[in-house]
Amino acid sequence: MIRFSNLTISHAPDKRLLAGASAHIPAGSLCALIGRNGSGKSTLLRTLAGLSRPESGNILIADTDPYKTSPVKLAQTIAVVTTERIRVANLRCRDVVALGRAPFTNWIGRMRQDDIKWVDHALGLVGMAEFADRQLSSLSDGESQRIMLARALAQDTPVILLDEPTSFLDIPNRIQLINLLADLAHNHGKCILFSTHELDLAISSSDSLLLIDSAGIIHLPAPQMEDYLHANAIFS
Amino acid sequence: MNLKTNTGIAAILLMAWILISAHGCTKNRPSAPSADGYTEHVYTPLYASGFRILGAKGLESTILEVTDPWQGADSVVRRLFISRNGEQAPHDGIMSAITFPARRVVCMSSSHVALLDASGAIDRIVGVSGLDYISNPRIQAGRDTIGDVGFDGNLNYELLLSLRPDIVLIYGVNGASPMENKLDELGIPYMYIGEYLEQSPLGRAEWMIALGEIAGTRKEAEKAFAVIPEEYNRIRDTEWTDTPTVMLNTPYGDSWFMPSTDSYTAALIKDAGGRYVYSGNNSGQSLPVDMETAAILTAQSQIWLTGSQATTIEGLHSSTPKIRFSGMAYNNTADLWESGVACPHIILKDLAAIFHPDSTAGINDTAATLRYYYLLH
Amino acid sequence: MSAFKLRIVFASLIAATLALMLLDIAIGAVDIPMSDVWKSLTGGNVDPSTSLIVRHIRLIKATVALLCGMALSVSGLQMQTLFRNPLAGPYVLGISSGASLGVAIMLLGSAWLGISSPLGIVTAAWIGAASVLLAISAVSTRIKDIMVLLILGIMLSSAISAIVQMLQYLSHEDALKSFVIWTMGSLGEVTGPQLAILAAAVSAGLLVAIATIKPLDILLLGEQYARTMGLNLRRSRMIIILSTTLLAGTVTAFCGPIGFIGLAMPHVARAITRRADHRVLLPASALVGAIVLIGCDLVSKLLVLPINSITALVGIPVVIWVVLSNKSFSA
Repeated sequence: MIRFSNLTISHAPDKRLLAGASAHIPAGSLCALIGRNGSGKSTLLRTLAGLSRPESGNILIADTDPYKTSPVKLAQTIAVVTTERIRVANLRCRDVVALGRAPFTNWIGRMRQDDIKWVDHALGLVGMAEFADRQLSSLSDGESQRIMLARALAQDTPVILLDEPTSFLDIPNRIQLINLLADLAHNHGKCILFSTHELDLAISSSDSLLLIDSAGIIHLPAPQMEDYLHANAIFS
Repeated sequence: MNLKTNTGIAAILLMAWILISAHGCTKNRPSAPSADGYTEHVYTPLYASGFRILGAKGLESTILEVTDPWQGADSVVRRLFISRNGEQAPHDGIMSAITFPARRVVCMSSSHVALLDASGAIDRIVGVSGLDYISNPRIQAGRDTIGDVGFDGNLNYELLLSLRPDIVLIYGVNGASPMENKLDELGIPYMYIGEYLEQSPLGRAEWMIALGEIAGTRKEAEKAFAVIPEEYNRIRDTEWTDTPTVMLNTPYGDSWFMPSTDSYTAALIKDAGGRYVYSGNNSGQSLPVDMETAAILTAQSQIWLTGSQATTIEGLHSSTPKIRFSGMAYNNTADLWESGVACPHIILKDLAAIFHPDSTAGINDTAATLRYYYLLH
Repeated sequence: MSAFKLRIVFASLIAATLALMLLDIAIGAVDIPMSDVWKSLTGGNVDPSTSLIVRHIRLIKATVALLCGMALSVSGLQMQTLFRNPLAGPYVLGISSGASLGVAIMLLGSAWLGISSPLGIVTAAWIGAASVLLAISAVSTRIKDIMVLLILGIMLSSAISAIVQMLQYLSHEDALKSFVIWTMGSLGEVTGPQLAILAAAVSAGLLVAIATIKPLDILLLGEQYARTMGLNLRRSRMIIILSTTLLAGTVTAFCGPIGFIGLAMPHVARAITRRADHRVLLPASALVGAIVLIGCDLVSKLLVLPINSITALVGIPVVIWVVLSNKSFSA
C-alpha cells in the first residue's frame, strides 16, 4: 500500500537523508519508523504524504502518486497526524474532527448525516466522546493529540501517516493508542506508518519496522529487526 | 476552462467594469444647441486671463466662462449659465446654470468671501468652508446664521442643502473638484473660481467682477475695481531711489519653499520696487531650497517677508536658529490672503512703504499704518 | 453556544442593524420629524428638499456605512485566518497604501507628472489598490510560506508610503489638505450611481467570501494540515485575495481608508458567538461590522469629526482587549 523505490531525499545539497531507498509496506499492516534524531523520519513522512517533493524516486500510496494527483483525491487516500499543537480560540473538538470530512463534503463544507456519524465514530475510537463540545485549547497536549488522530480517522483513508503520535501520552494511553492503530490495521485493512522513539512498544506491536540509518532504509519484520538492532549495536 | 481561469477572467472583467463605471460617473453632456452661440463679449478682463463674460444677440442671459481653473489644466473650459428673463440654458457646453442673481452663495474659499465683499455682495453669503478661518468682520459678525459646511473631501452635505444655496463657489487644485458628483446629484449649481491661479495681482482682483456677475452686483464691482489699477499703477510707476532685496518665507522643518520668479508674490515685490532675492526658480510653482542656499539668500536680503507664525523677532530667530539676518523682518496677517486678493493696491502700498521707508514720493503719510504687514521687533 | 442561542444572536444582530440604519437616517444636521423621514422613504407627500436630504444624503450614507462595515469586517476576518494573525486587517496586503498612492498621484502630483486630464479620485484609488493586489497575487502563487506574503505586503505598504510622503512634501498646501482629508475617510461623498457600483462590488465580494468559508475553516489548522486535508492552497489564496480585493479595495476607492473596523470587528464576532468556524463567523462579522460602522457614522455626525477618528476610538479598545486577553494564544 505504501511503496517507494529509489527514493532520494535531501535537506540541503550536501545533506542527504535518504539515497536510493526502497520499501513496500502492505495494506493491513502496522509499520513503525525508527531512527536517530535528525535521521529524517519526519521528512520521509512528509515526502510520502505529498508535502515535500523528493529529489528523485517513485512513490505510490495506494496506487496513487502523491505528486501527480489532485489534493482532494490525495486527502481521501492519506491522512496525516503531526505533533503540531493547534491553538485557535473557540474551536471545539467536534469542529476539528469534522474537518476530517473535508475531502468528502461539498464546496461549502456541508455535513450530511453520514459525515456526522463518522465524527462521532472517530471520537469514540479514540475514547474522546465526552470531549466533543469542549474547546480544543482547553485540552492537554495528549488529549489534543488524540483529537487530531480522531480527525485523521474521520478522514477514512486507507493510509495513515503519524509523526511521533505517542510523544505527549502517558504510558497507559500510549499502549491504548498503539493498540488502536494495530486494530485499524489488522481489522480494517488500513496501512499505517508511524514514527516513534518507543523502541519496545514499536517492536512489540508493529508488524514491521522501517529503520533509517546512514541515508539508507532497512525494512524488516519486527522480530528480525530486533535481532538486527542488537547485532549492529544500534541504539544501544 | 477550469475554475481558476474562470475566476481570473471574471475578476478582470469586474475590475474593468468598476473602473469604467466609476470614471464615467460624471455628468452626461447631451448634444443639442450649444454654448458656442454666445459670442458677444459682455466683459473681457484687462488683467485676468482665467475668465470672461459672454452674451448672445437678442438674449439677456450671460455665460461666465472660466478657463483652466486648476493647476496643470490645459484648455479646460467651464461655463456657468446665468439665466435672465426665464431663458433656457443651452444643452451643450454648460456645467451649471443659475437664475440671475444668486442670492444665497456658499464659498469654499476665503478669497471668494473677499471678492464678493469687494463686489458689494457680502450679504449674499449663507455658508463658508472653515468659518473660524475667515477674517472678514461681516462674516464673523454673522456667525450664528452663516453655516460652516466643512472642508473639501468631508463636506456636511446635509447642512449645505439646508442652506438652500443658489450656487456653491468651488475650486480645483490638481484636477476637477471631487465635490462635482455629489453636487450634481443634489441638484446644487456650482462654479469654479480660479482667481488664485492668476499671476497678476490686478488679475486676481479683477475676479470680483466675475463674482459680481453671479451675485447681481457687476456694475458695483466694475466701479469698485476701476480705482484699483489706477492706484496700483501709480505706485508701481513711482521712481524709487533704491531697490531692496527681499527674502520670502520661513522653513517648515528643513524645507524652505521659495516661490517662482513669475509668481503672484514675486510680481508684487517687483511692482513695489523691490528685488526678489531668489532667481533660481522659474518653474511656476513653489519649490524647496536647502537651508544653506536659504541662509545665503537671507543674508543677502534687506527685507524679509517671513509669512510665518512668529510675532516677535525672538520668535523668528528661535524658529530659524541657523539664519543670520540684519535687515527688517515683517510678518503678514492671514487677511493678506483673504481681503488682500481684492486689494492689491493696498498690498502694494504696504510693500512700497516697507521697501522705501524714507521715500515719501507719492505715498500718503499714513504709510506708517500698514494694513497687511507688521514689523517684527 | 447552542444552535438555538446562535439563532437568537443572529436575530438580534439583524434587528440591531435595521434599528441603527433607521436611527442614522432619522438623525442629521437638519431637524426632520420622524413622520417626514418616513414619508420621504416611502414616497409620501413631503417637501422636496426634505426628501432630498433623507434620500440622497442620509439614506445613501447609511447604506454606504452598512456596505462598508460588512465588507471591511469580512475582509479582516479572511486576513486574520489566512495569516493566522489576530492583528491582521483588510489592509495588510497593501490595499490602502495602493489606493493612497493612486489618489496621491492624482491630487498631489498630476501637475508635476504632466497628467493633463486626471482621473477621478475613485478611479485612481481603485487602480492603485488593484495594482498592489495584482502584484501580491502574482507573487503569492510563487511562494510556499504565507508569512512571506505578509511581510511582502507590509514592506510594499511602507515603500508606497515613502513615495506618498515625497509627493506630499512637494505639493501645494491646498492639494495637501485635500489629500490629508481623503486619508481620514468619508462616507458621505458617494453619489447614488456610485452606490450602485459599491453595492454590486461588495455583493460580489461577499458571494466570493462564501466560497472561502470551507478553505478558511481548513486553514484554521495551519497550512500543513490544510494540504493534507485536500485544500488547494494556491487556489484558495487566490479566491481569498480576490474576495478581499472586491471588498476592501472597493470600500477604500469610494470612501478612503477606514481603519479598525476590519481589524477589530471579527474579534467582537468571535466573542459574541464563541465560535471559530467561518460559517458562523462570516455573517456574524459582517453584521457586527455593519452595526458598528453605522453607529460610528451616527457619532461622527453628532461630533462633526471625520469617520476615522471615531472608528479609532471604538476600535482601539477592542484591539487592546484582544492583545491583553490573548484568547488566540492561550493553551
